Amino acid sequence: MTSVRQATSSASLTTRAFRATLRLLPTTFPARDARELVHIYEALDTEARHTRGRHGGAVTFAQELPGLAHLVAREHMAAWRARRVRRRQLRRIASYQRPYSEDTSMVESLLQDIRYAARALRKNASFAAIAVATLALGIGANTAIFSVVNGVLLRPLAVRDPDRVVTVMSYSAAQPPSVYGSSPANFMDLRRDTRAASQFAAFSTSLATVVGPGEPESFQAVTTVGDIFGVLGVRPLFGRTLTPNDDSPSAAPAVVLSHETWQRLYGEDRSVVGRTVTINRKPRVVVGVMPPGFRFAAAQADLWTPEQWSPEYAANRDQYYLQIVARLRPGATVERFSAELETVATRLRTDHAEYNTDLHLSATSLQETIVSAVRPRLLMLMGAVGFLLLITCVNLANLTLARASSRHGEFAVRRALGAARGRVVRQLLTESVLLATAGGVAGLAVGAGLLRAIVAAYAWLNPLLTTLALAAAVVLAVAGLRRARWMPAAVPAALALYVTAVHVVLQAEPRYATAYRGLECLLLATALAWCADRVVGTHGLRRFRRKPISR
Amino acid sequence: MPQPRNPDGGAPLSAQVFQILLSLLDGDMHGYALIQDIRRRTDDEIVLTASTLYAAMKRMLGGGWIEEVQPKEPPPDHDERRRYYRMTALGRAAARAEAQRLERLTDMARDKRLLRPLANTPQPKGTR
Repeated sequence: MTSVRQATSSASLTTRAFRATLRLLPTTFPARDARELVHIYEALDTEARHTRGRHGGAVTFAQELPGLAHLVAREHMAAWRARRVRRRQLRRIASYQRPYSEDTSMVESLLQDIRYAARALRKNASFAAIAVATLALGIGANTAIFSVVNGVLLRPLAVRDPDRVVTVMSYSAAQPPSVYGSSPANFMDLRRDTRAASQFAAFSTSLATVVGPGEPESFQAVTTVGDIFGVLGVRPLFGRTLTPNDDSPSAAPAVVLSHETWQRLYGEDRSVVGRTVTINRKPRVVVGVMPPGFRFAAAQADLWTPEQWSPEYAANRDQYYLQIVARLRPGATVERFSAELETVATRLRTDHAEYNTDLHLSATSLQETIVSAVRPRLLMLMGAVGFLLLITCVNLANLTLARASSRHGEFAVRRALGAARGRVVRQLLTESVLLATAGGVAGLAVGAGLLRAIVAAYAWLNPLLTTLALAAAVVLAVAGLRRARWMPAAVPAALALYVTAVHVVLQAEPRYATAYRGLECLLLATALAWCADRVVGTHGLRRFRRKPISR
Repeated sequence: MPQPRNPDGGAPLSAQVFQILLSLLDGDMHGYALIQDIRRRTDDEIVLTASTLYAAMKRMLGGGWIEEVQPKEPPPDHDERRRYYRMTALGRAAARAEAQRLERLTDMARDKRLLRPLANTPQPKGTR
């Protein structure tokens, strides 16, 4: 009884294996033939079990395998041949239906696509307008902010070898540290006792009343000690700059005008050099005019005059008002200069303790000094604009998705009329490129406008921002593909690529819409989490933490 | 009578096809019976499996050598899945052509004294 049951279960096992193997046959294999095959196999299997005992089933199956493999291979081959023949016939039929497709050239069909895309977009003008506007805002904001960041953080200063120009900072190590100016005598000491810097200059700013050819006017004056123009490595537009000789009390009082001041007082009269102008009731000789845009040392610097200290004044240590800049010798580093400065500071703390309690000196590169104030703000803006770009993408994808679902009928008709799938995809691609190009151009216009607004609004904030006109040129360069820097160009390009991809994928394959929605949710969730973290994490939580938990 | 075209391509028939044709000379048969008959006649020298039989039958059906028939009265062990086959005139011609080819070959062997000459009285088939 037991052996019979074993035989039965084992018989069903090999028969099942045979049936499973038959599933490898192509789907076109006739079901009736398969049934006959199974019937014959079952008969052989049963017979083998009777004559050979327990292993009969396994032996039959093993004998069957080579022939079966051969059969499967041959049937697949035949099915493939049949499919190929059918395809060829269909293609021949289709070629009668599409008399133009083979004759039109690539360019002609491309033009046809562009015309059709333009018509389709015009027919759905609201979609096109919203898409272009979204793109324009996204690309515009990104381009403008990137130009600002590029201009301020990435572009070197408009001075010669900017990495060798440093500012010297006097500060107390007390908590919180306070930064203050240097006294004239301290400036003289550190100029004498350090080796890493080759040129030194100090300056201070004040308002000055100028009586020139017209009415008395108030100007922002920079009073300098030493060769400040030499330290910066800038040249005048014409005339000469101030030199250490001008610092001597016996020298004729001189003044250097900014380009704007020169224009305002003298209307671009080149014969201004040698004329006398009264500044704070002291007559001074105009020796030179700086090129336009040079405004170093204050956002608004209208003129530069030398200090002309008397020896007594130069020895005073209780007027802390000077800001110091220096140019490092070739090969010298900011760190080495800082170390030298600290040595000087140590000596000043002991020799002149009453004036220099807790004095420390260190050097920072000029670029760093100017940029550090605005860097966090700019980077934050960059992040915010990045999210704007993300939202732009999400918006566009939503628009495209909505449009795609309403266009299924159109694609179905085109396919039915004989359009190849590749042709429909190319059509979508053309539409996307058209849309992205329009959006990109509009975005560059918006970007240029925004940039101008930013420059106008924040020009007072930082002297470097005035060089943003150059960054604006970068934007124009992107538009004209002249000296396109890859970074600002990459932003619209990447966006265009993304939009194209989403557009094509979603319209051609609407079944991916669900997957896309999932991705979108993920992106939005990430963005929200980030925002929440920024707001709550840096402000809210800190505020809570300050409150004592227990009463 | 049209010259039978060998579905296997070449002139000699495969041993399996020839044996199937020989079996069908006795009358209509289903697949499993064919396998059993061939095995018995050849003393297990030619053992067909389900798939090799199927492949051969498919080729012969395609070439018009055999055809499928409904049994006049269903046998007691009838199974729905079972199919019965009959040899066509074309199949008979093919079998005869193959037999004649083999005969010519054995004649050649006899001429070369590889085999014993035939006795005057023709011997019944299969008792050589």
